[in-house]
Amino acid sequence: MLRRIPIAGLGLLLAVPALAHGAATEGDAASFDPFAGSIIVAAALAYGVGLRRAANGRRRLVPPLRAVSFMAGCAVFFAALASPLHSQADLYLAAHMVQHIVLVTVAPLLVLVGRPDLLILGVLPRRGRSSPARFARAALRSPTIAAAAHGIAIWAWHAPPLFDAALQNEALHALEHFSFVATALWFWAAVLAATRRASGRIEALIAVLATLIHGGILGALLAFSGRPLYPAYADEAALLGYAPLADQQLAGLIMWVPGGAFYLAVGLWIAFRLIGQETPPYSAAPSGKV
Amino acid sequence: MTRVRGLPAGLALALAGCTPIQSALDPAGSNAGMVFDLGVAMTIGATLVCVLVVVLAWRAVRRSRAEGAWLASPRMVIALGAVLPAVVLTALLAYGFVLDRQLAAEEDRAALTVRVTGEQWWWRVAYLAPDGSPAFETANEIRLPVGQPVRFELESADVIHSFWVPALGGKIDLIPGRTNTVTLLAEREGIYRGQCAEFCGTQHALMAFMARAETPEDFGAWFAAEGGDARQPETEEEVAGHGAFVAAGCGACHAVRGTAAAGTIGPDLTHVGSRLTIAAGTLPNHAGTLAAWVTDAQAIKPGARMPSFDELDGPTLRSIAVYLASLR
Amino acid sequence: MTAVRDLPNALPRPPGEEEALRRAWAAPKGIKVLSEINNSYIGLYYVSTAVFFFIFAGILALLIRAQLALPDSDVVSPDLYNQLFTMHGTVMMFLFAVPAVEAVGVLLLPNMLGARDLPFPRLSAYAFWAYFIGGTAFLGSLFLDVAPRAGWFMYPPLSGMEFTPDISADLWLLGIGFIEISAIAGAIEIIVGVLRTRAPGMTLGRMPVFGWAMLVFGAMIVFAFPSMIVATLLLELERAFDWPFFIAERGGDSLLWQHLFWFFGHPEVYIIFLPAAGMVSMMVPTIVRHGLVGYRLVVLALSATGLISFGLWVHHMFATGLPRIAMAFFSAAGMLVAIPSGIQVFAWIATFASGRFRPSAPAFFLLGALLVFVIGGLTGVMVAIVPFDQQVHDTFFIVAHLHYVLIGGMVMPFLGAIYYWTPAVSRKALSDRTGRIVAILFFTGVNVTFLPMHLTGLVGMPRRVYTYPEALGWGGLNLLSSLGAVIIAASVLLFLVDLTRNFRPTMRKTAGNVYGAGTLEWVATGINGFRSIPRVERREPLWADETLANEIEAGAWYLPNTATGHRETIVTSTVDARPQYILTLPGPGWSPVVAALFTAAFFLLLTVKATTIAAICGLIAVASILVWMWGADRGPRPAVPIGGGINLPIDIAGRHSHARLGTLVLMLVLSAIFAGLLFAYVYLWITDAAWPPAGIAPTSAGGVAGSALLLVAAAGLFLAAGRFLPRPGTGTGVLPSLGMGLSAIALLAASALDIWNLADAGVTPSGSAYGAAVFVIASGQALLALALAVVTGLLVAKALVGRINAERRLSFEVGRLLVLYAAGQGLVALVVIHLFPRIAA
Repeated sequence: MLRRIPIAGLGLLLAVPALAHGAATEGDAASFDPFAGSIIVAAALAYGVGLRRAANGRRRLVPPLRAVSFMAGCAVFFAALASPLHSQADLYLAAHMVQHIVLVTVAPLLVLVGRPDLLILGVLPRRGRSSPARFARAALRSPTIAAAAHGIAIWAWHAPPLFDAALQNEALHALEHFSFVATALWFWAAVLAATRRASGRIEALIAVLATLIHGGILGALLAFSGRPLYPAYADEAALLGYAPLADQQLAGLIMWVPGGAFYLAVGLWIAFRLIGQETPPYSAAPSGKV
Repeated sequence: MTRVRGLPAGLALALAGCTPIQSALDPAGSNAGMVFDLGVAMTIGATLVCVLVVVLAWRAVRRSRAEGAWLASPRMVIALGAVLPAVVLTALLAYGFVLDRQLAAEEDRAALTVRVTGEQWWWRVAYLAPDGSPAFETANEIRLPVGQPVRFELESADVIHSFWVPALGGKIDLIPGRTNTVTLLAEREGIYRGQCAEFCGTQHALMAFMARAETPEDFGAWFAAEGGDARQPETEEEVAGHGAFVAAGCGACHAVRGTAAAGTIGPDLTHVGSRLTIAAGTLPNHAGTLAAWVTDAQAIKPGARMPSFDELDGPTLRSIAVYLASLR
Repeated sequence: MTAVRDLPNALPRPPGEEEALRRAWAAPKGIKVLSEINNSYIGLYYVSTAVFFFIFAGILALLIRAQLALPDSDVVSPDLYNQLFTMHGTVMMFLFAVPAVEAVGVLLLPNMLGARDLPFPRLSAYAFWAYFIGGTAFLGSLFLDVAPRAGWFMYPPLSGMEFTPDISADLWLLGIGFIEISAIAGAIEIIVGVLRTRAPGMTLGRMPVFGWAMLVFGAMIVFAFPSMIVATLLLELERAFDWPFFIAERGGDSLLWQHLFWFFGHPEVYIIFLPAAGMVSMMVPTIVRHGLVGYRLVVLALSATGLISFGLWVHHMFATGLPRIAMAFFSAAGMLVAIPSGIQVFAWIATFASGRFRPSAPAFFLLGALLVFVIGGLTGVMVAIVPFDQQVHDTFFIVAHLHYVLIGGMVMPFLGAIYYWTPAVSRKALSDRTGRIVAILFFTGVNVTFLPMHLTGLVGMPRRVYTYPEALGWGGLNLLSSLGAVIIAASVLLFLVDLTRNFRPTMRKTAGNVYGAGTLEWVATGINGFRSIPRVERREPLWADETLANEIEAGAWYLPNTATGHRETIVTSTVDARPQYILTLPGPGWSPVVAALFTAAFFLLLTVKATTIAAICGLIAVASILVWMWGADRGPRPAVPIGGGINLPIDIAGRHSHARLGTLVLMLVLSAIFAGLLFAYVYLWITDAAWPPAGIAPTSAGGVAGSALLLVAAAGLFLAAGRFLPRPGTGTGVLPSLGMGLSAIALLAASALDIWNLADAGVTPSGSAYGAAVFVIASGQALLALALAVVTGLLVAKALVGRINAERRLSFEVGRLLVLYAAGQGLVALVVIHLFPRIAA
């Protein structure tokens, strides 16, 4: 009964990253963005209200640890979007990469582990009979399609012209972060939902593996490029006097290795679930030494 | 097919009183020295782990049916299979990282730059002037001053090669279309043999060179002399040899500065007589081997670009060899 | 011990039931036995061929050691030496190691999993014959002095046309590319088999570890081998048509090859190791008669190794001048893989400690393998440290390291496995006593050969040199290694003697379960498949239930008969193995053999540029594949009882069909190949800023839109065709045929328009690396469209004669998936080819 589409109800959170950039002005060193912050707080509040309401029932809908995870996820979103990391991201590609990695891995996963879908009302029709509605639901639940969408978002925005344009234009930058976070939430929600079903774990694992591989390849391309790919950062580098190529290499490596490690860990967790319950090993005789 | 490689390069050099070193276990450079220490530490660690596994496996097999014992538990599998390696490897990683920082620090101090170009199957060597232009060119032999880091710019003219002087430090590939760099610092005087370490075709095995580490004074003197033109032929035989060298068309491929020979296909021979070996470390260097190489290169190093000039008569061949040997 | 219980089918079985089953599974006699496609036969052919290649490559190694035994030696010429080490590495990696573990999988998996056969027996037969014919021809090149000689890694530019103008490199590229296709075919078979043909009740958590290992193996092949196919394709295009992917002066980069090659090459090591580790995890429990300790950990370790290995390809490129800042990251990533290996090693030790150790030939091999593998792993950690690797890279230290890993990780477990599983397929077991001597000799030989090599490398000897001067002092160490090689040769010789004396393959009366193992492959049935298929409740069913084997043989379990008169097995659900339907399997037939023969001929004739005959051979190969596809998809039939009150339908279509899973895996392979082409494009762009180079006009936007519309139309037409499939027996499928036909034409037209658009803009494949990268994507799409046109032609023919209808629609569904995939790939290709240069400019 509770197996609703886990993405539902996250619309509120999606607005956060998009607006984060809207409010931040260039060169704002403190970079505390009250607007982004307040939306995160609002999401957390909505979740808390839902938690209280659910606690009125007999069964506890969301265990406390999951609630903690949701709050931690909000905190990480907050830290990524409204902290010194954000202002550093305007200066260093590597810092920007850290911000992106956090936005698409740790933060959404922590939020989703809190099962906001159970608490915040769904934004999608629950029982649409029309074939487009069924198709949309199937697509939203499919780790493969979610992984493809997430992959396209990541690769498209790393094309230098788009990436640079986003750096110049705050609205585009907001759109960039929005598409990262939205597809990441979709991706992880579909993966988590698929992992809950025994029959969905293989697909979830393949989706995570594919993302691990293509993310690693993108990181490798950045790390191995013989020239700076993003002119905006090359300008920053000239201004601040650091080597733009080294910055780009570091950014690629961050995406490749620690980023990859995160997908690896999730992939192993899915594999662990896939193996299922372990039957005790066969033993011919009662235990004890001979 | 006759083989002339009867007197190997190393032996000849040993007779001359200086043994070339080509061993990572006999480090003479700072890079090689640090890696040597790392290698010793890792070998000790690996041996300990190996002994641990053997002892545990032995116990497991000998005292079997120990279900419930620690050695038979999944906890042991996690402790020794996952936690132990994680701890050891993290420590090792830290060591490797520190080492890498030290090596990086050396790079910034290099004042002298040498451009080495790998060609099938020899090494073109150019010492660069401070402005980056080649000061002079030589081949298959590199001299470097003791105690001063030297930066090597590595390029390739054909296929991928790899530049490696084990006694001085690790190897770096020479890749067409790219320029790699490595910084080496020799800590004591000596002759260190280097060799191509990336398979590059038929004669990959015979693509060696000598790195001679000298006192800064000796190096300075050599540097000044090496940039100059070739020594003029003096004896009658040398003059004849020079003539024969020109007549045989050697200058189409080889350069001898100060003469009409200005070819750039093969090694520069301006001061060939002063080198320890010829044919990229294949033969010791004296008039006899020079003559053998000129007349029989394809037997000594089948497939090399150098043709066998076997139509030259004895006296002509001899005069060319004497002339080349005189180019000190 | 024997509990009284209800078995699914009452005993005794009706007369004639077993005879009918035997008839369905009987292998043809005489020379026709070569047309048998049953996994037991193909598996045996496969393992034997792999052992043959092992011995052949071993002889090459002996020649190498003979040449290196003494300094300044003259046993072989430099050129022959280069052929020898190239062929030794290539044959060992591509023709022995991967096929050998795949062969063991084909031979044992069905029986181990409780299936009568794998789901696509003709595919395994094709994979085997392709490998056998292609591999044998490849070996022949050595005797004609046209063997490849640029190393098993074939780095360009050395392997390019300028430095290797003869056909030796083409032979390598086409031969190995072809064998990769065979390996992928086998991998698809194994993945679907492991996931869908397990006995009822054998949940993933109850599956033998070897099943898991082969599943990870298959998945890794699906992701890794396409990279190699792309690499060989690009280099062959460069050699044959001068498309400059790797030529620096024209915008190419030789390092592109290394990235593609090692993206395949590093996982390759684990593709070889994991199945062998799976075999070890099967043998150790039997040796001590105790279940594997830490099953879940071991399975997790297998998966972790598979995942991590895709991040480690740069390990082979530490000397190519990587950014300094990258070193620490790579070292860390490289060491990570030590943890899952450690878990497996200690799980084996814990299992040894849990039961009672009984010495035997397999046990000797495994204990030796354990030590050898651990040493190889430890030196592996050492070379993961970048400064150390830069010193020992491409020296004999690496030669020692890789042989320790591969021999300890694969060869010794494989030899142990031959001793262990021979009784399951042979009338006589091999001699245990001889086996122990072989193990001891082999272990000794390996250590005498390769332990000194660590030192040889450290004192300065590089790899792949045909000679070395005496004065460098490497003579003694090399002589020792050569002596060790003689010891190895002696042990292999003894092993062959044992094989000749005792190996008597049979399907009827095998030596049986001599080691007292607990898994299902030891149920001797006398039929090429189970008499009846059990419900599995435990990981070692034969240990948990001593009467099970007899019940299976008596026919008391599921499906004791042949429901259709054909060969059949039960398909179960992926994770929890609930029975879903009965799959009818094809019987013997020549089409896979003919198809393999002519595919091999096609590739081999291409190397000698005999294009016309090659094309004819290719057509014959396609025709025989079509013949086999024509017979596939017999259509669903009503449910029949299999015992225990369970009724199963026969040969269903739709979501639960195993063929759909097979197609999805094939789509993964295709998309991995496509991703490889895209990687080449982007990689060349980051190394060359002139993108597109000067003098190339923008492509026509109208042309791009036209191509995109045609792709969408192709997808739409095929989808629409599905709505008009006739009910069975009600008229022919003219309308769906029309839809499918038009779809194929649209797909082809989209490619044709795109290629014309590119040519019109002045892009030429041989003009620059840009042109080559663009054209290889566009022609890849065209090739896919062409292949699908052939498939569609088959479907149209089937629909017109009533072999496809609203119920009998499995082959239609497979075609539809592929067409949808092709349309999607085409759209991505359009975006990359046309949109990217516009925004990047």
